[in-house]
Amino acid sequence: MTVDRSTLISFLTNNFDVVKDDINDDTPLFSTGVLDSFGMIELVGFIEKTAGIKFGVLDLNLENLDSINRVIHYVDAKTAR
Amino acid sequence: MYLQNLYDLVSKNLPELKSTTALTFGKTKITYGELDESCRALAAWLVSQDVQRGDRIGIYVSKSIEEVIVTFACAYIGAVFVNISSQRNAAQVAHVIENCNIGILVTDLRRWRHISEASGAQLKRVLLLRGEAGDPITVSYDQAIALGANASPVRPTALVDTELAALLYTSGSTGLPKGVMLSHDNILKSAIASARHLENSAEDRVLGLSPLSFDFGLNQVTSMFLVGGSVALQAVAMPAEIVNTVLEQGVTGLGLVPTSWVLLLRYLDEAPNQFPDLRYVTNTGGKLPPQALDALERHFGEKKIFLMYGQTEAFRSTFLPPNLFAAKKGAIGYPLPNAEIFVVDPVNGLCGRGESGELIHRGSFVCMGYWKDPDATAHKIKANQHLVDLIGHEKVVHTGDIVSVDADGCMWYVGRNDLMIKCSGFRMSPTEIEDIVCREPLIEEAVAFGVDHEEFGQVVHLAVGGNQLTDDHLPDIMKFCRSEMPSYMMPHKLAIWNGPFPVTAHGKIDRPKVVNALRESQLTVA
Repeated sequence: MTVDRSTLISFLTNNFDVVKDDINDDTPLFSTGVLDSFGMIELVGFIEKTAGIKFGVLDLNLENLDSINRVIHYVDAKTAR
Repeated sequence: MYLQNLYDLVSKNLPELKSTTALTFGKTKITYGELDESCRALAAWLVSQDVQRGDRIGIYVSKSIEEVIVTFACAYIGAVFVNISSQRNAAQVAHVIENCNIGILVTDLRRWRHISEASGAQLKRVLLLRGEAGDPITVSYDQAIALGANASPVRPTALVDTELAALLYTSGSTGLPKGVMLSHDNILKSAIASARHLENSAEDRVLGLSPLSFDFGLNQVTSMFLVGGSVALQAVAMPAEIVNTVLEQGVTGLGLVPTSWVLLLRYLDEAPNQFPDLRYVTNTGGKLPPQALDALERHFGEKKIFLMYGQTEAFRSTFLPPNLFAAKKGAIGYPLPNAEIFVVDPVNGLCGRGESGELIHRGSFVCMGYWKDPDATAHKIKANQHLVDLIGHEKVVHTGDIVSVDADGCMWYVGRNDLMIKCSGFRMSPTEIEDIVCREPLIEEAVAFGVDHEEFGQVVHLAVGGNQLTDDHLPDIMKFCRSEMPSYMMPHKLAIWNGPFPVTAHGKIDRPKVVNALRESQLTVA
């Protein structure tokens, strides 16, 4: 499975207090508190499992994780290497 | 200036520190003068909404400067602020709102949408920090501030220092979250004790990552206001973001829960940093694992390291002075200023050196009790028969934490005398978790327990039983848990127990047997 828009949205809506209408591809997930520190660990676990990549601790930042678009961009860059 | 209520912490900085920064959040800054102005405006709006001294105001928002303003506006008029952790879910928020009869809630549009169904009927007014809902019950924060600023100013309400200032919801040993009642005096004395032992001054700026619904997060703000320092508020617990804020904002004091420490220390192993402005580091929400203590010494050996121990019902009890860190690594140390600590064995009484018993806390931080729960209060805060000759029948906090006293009188945390589970600073009782999961119709009984976990301290494992249950139900049960439980309560391991749970001679569930069976993984795991 790949990490794309629809897998991310279904992960977020199935696992967190998130409704589809609440978020778009650029909605900040962490800086506005949609996801908390537990959410971070779960989201990272989901991405690692789904995309078959490993998150380094240095990669845990808003640039890579704060929106659906940023996650997709990060995963693309990581898998392209 | 004489400090009698919480708002005095803001007033005492005026006019000298009027233009000094009190809070930062990202690139936004607010001075003590601006803080005072906003608090007064919001206080005037609250009064216009007929809020009376002693009324409870709910604050359910993510980290923000506005959260602090609302909190101190409540203190200004003698209303009781109830900061609700943003990690709680709709059902828990509804419980809090109902339990302490909150009439006005401060939240944001997204959270309001989630809780309006469960809690809407109970609320009179909802103040929205972000977004507009367009319904008559809600009003935007900016509008309220503008209305309040134009209304005739209200004077601070004259309060007594022993009256209720705040409710902090935490789990008791059974059932739903309980509101720990903190007086103005409790919070002021905690601020003074913190500032004293951490040697805080107006030069200090602490990282405010812990929520105000945690005693530590609230204390960070009150102790900085006490000394005229500032708080760099931070919403995100990601290690890179913590490092950025500490560097950019010139943070001098860094206090984190174990979960955040573990991640940050791993980050620093790969990308070390000197943090030139940082003066001290400290922990809250549970003890640090041994590897983290080593890493803390590796990365912060040049700074002061304060290890701390405390419980919401008595704020903080002990700390390990930095000069003893190397010799007593991992100890919880000695009593905080203005706290007296007794270690008591239920049978043999007061413990001496080399012995262990329950940590009992005496002093000004001892809370007023649990809101509308006299039984739980009487169980936790009471006289101790072994101390009667020393302090009479003075009420002291029975922490339920077992500590040992070494040959130097230094205390070490041993464990709990009950089954409480602590995950990333959140305390919960197995009963609370079991009661929730048993609301799923197929589940007849359940056993929840804590298992040590590197990042979270402990996590929940859960065994459920029921005649009709099969492994096919596991995904649905997990889904049920997700909808009913806050994230820290979610089981990391879920198993179906085939047949009835084993029982003891007294007919109670034999918990150790269930725990051992689950540890050895003889069961299906989700």
